[in-house]
Amino acid sequence: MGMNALLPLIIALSTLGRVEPAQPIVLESALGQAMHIAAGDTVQLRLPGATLSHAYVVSGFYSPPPDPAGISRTSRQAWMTLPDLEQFSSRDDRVSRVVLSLTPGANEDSLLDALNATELGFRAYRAADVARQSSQTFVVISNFHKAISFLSILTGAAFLAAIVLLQVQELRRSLGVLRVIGISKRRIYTVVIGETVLLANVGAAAGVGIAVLVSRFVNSYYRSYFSTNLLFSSIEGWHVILAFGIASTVGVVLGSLATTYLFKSDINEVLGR
Amino acid sequence: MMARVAFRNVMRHRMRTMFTVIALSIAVALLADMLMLSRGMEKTFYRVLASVGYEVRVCPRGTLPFTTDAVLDESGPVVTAMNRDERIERTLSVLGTTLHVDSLPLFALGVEGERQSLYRVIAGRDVASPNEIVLNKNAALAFHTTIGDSLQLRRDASSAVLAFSSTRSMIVTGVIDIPFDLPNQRTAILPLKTVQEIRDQPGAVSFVVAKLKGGEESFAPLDEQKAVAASLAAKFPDLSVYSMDELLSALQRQLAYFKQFALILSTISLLVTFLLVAVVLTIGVGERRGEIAALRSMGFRRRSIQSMILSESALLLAMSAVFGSVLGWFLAGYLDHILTQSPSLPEGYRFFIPAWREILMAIALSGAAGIIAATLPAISAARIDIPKTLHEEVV
Repeated sequence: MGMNALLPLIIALSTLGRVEPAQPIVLESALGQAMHIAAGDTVQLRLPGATLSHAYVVSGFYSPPPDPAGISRTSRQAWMTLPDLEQFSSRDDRVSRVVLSLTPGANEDSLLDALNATELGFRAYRAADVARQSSQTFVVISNFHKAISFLSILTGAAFLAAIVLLQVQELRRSLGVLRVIGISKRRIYTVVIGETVLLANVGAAAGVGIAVLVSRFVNSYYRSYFSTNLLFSSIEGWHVILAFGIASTVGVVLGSLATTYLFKSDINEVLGR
Repeated sequence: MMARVAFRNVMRHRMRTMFTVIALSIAVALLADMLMLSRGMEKTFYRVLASVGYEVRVCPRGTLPFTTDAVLDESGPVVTAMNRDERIERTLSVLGTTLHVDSLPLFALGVEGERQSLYRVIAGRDVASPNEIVLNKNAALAFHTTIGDSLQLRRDASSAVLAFSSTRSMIVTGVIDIPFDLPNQRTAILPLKTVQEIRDQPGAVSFVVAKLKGGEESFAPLDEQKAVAASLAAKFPDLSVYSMDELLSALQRQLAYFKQFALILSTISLLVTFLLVAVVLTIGVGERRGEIAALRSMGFRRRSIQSMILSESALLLAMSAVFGSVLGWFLAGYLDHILTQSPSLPEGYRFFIPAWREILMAIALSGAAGIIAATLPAISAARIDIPKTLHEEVV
């Protein structure tokens, strides 16, 4: 059974001859790259402040799975067998956690109840519960993003409303002529709303395009910044549908309001009589 | 004169002005909030560090205080070196660990040092002997204890197997307040040696902090902090030594996302302000070409026309500044409420701290963006071909 060495370790490349057979250790790839350590090298590990060090042979490297919760972690990880870690740290019979893999079809709930009923000084959790608890921070950040998105939509809608009003006022004269020659209000409504919806959707298309580019940049920048493979930003199909849906809705609402505002004008005044 | 004309022009299209001001107000509010976000975290970190009051921190290599379970196994040489340094007034050694009272975990801090400023005793008195303990309000409430009661502490959670494991009886002598406590966290302060004995780690500490001479009311000068930190780092290359600025930047690195988010959103807010003013004024000038040509033919100078357009922009921005400031102030509280729902945040931690400095800065930046955006339509209005425009507009 392997154990993650959470203790702070001081690692130095060893050039000394080995006195006793060194135990194997697996290092995080980033640590190997930073310290130019290759598989088969011997490293000396010691606890901070300690004078004695232990020799370990690097048997391999591994990259930790992408974990948003550990993104700001600056320390590096090493894996060794539990007995080796116990010997190294002089602490026996201690583990941080034990994970269980159930046989297919096993009743997870009853096992959980049975384990927690033992009162052996631990608490058993489902993997999903642990994931939900540890992702609470990201739920909060997601709520923050939603609030900012709502403000962006409000700004965009107000921006569009101002432009549509400008456009409609510019068209007052020609719309007045259209009404005089018998074009129905319904048709004028349809044209103005269609134009507003088109304008909003062109904006949405440009926005989605910019979002795709920004998303790529964000992923590339933060992956490099945090040295991780995590996906920081993704544009999914429903985001695009939502963007066009909101744009169309805002377009219809603002187009209707603007046309209603326009029809309140006196036709003779519109035609300058 | 031109300002009055500009005011009438803006008020002539109230609906349009209203929507423009709404959009600009949100942009100003967002900019102000992002400036607050950027500064709020710095202010909070500084406030927490200032309340603790120590300038130099020595931690296990690559760690920050309380971010890992890592400890300095042999803290004696560090404390001795600090005590020998004449620039250091006092030190405080801290060992943080989780202990248990029955099955309830308790975050215990073992401390050793004179005139500590890590916590404040709000009732009773501080610990003075090895078997004394002070609790924060959460712990006192959870364990139903008052001053003078005794508390049985265990290293591990109680269980059938560990029923015979040793417990340590402690007397509660006071209730404390710790500035960086987590909400709902049960915290206790004990003598350092007691915690080391319970953990069976004599000499171990989580970190050692030092207060420099000459800065009793505030912090010692940064240069002196750096010099002390550098000399300790040279003596103990296996450890991480932080002066105040190094600690602040290390803490801020962990929240770099928010800083960058604030920068990006601030830029977008300014861009929106620029585009909005430019588009609204450009279309407005196009709509009023005849009117502008008439004014020019009546003898109004180009400069007057330019100042009229710039005044219109300034007026829109001034209205937006008023609404945006109010919106930004309240929005900061709302956004802060969302972010502070995050678990594991110290009590009193703020992301957004409403401040006039940031509001004024947002108004100044938005104003500058708006005036720059108005320059092009203003120049275009001033250069209108008078005969041609009058001919087109009238005929």
